[in-house]
Amino acid sequence: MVNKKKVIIAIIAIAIIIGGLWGGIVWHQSLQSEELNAPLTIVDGVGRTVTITNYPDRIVSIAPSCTEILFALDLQEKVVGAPTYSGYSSEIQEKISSGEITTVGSFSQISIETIVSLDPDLILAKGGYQLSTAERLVELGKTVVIVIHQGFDGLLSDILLVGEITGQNEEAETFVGDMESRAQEIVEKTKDLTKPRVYVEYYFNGGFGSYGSNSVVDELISMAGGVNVFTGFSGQYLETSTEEILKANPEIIIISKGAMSELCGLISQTIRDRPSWDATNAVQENQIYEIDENLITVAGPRIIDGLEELAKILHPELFPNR
Amino acid sequence: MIQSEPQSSHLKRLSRWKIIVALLFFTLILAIIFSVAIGPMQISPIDVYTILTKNIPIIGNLVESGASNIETEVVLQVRLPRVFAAAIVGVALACAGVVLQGLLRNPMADPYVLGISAGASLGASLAIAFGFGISFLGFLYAIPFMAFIGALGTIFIVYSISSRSGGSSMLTLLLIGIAANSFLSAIVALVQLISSEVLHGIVFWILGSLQVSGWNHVFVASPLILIGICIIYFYARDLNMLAFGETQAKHLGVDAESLNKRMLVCASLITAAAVSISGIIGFIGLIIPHITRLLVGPDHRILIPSSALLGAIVLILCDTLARTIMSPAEIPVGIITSLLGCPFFVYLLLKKKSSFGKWH
Repeated sequence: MVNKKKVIIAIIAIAIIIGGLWGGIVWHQSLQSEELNAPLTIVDGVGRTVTITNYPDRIVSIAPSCTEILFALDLQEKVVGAPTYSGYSSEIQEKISSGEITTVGSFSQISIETIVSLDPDLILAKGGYQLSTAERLVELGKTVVIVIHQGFDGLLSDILLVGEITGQNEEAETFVGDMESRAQEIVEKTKDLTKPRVYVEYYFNGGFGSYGSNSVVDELISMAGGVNVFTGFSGQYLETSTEEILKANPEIIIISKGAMSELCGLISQTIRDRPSWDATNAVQENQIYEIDENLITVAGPRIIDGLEELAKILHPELFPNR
Repeated sequence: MIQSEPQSSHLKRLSRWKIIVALLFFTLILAIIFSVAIGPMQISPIDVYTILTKNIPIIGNLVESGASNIETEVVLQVRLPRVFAAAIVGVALACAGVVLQGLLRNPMADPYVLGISAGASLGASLAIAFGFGISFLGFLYAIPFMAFIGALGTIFIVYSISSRSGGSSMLTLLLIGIAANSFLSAIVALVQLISSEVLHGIVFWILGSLQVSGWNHVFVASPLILIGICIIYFYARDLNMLAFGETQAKHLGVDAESLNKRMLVCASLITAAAVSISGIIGFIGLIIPHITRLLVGPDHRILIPSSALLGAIVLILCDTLARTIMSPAEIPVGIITSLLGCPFFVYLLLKKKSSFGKWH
């Protein structure tokens, strides 16, 4: 019977179509996480549009500052890979040395293979040099979000962005709110005071390594109520000379203590012993201080501590309890 | 033609060449097979090879692969393209080295001697420093693109200046190339100084690395490099005659001037293509031609294919070391090529001192 056959075929066809649709809907729904109703579309630090369909469970950070932001937002359980970095807080350092977090290389030498082998659902990278590494990861179909930490405010919005894409909005807002109010307090307190001229050195080898106006250090000094003596130099780092120092005549000299300063044995005595440097106000008044470079040079969440430290050095009168 | 040797010795030489090329080709295959099997991620060699054979049509259907998706991705999308990138860059640099040493009749010549490296570095530095990747060319491949433009632009300027100056063209070309190298390197240093946040990036780019090589890099660079080398090989006999000097070559019926120009264009194109995907990898372009010359003799008809194959083999093996010995961090491959290659070269040189005397 031709008709019967046709009917059976029609029924089967309808069943397949309905089944397919139903399966498709179920499958589509299973793709959506319970936490996220609609895919989230954000624009990252370099202007790329990134769509997040699920809050990530396996995050790889390829820049130290990104690792710090993730930890600050209580995401340490979800971080599966991070680069090595000597300046991490001990909490991060432990997780890495215990192997809970896999090392994916160093900031400049990232192993693509290690990252892929971790099967991450979100990769956080920093702009600048890491662009080419990030490009490769994008090409491999990974979800990559690039941040650039442009200044203090840029850092705050980066933290909010990371909070948004990881479902830690509240933590991020609280954290950023706290940073803002702490920064605001210092700016308010110091804005009408006289601004001391500050020279920060992190390295010497013939010339003296300091920071120009493009650096976070420069911004922090001005927020803390001082003036970086090399704020007129538009680069981030510069190498300078004794003559420039004498011309600038800093009132406060700060040693940015870290790997670089240790390498050349830079301590306050070194500065005092330099010929002719005793002509500067800072050496005469013995205004030579040290600060942990990780607090003032890495554009991460600890920068607010760096700002407070700087303010204490620049304006000790504001912090009598110290 | 200059060959006046008897037919039998000609045939003997031809079969010797065939054996050399076959041996080198076989070694290249072994090097590829060996290096895809190792990397920071622990994947058993058996899994690696089932993944590979699974993707060969027809035979693939007979193979059962127990590897996970991630292992498959690592082998096919991370390791394999990188190995091929190393191969194609090695081929390009070694061949360009042979050509430039032949053209300039100078054993110190390498693919970078005319300023290509500095030009490419400047292009890449500008791309890195000003973050061209962001707004320029839709993010991807800004650095390779700018490096390519920088390399070709430099060689074009060097060549037009030297041809305008007239005189003994190859020597002038070499000197202007050296001047361009220093001048552009100074500009790169200046860019580094001004934009030191990304200083890192420029330094590592200049050291050369295959860290981010993917299939797209391979697919874009390979045709250019392979076509360039085919053209160069076509002129192998003319390059042989050029070794006697331009005047001699002219007597032998070679249009030295147009040969120079053609070879220069080919060598520059393949170097620029290689440099744009790998950065400045040293040693290969300078020393592989010399090593090959020691092994197979100065005849360009065998020197070009052998150098190409040897360049590929050496760069694949060096890159394998670069990505594994300090895992998870990587070492720029240029450091490895020079560290391992130069002592080996000196050893060969001392051992076969006599044959090196026959440089041209």
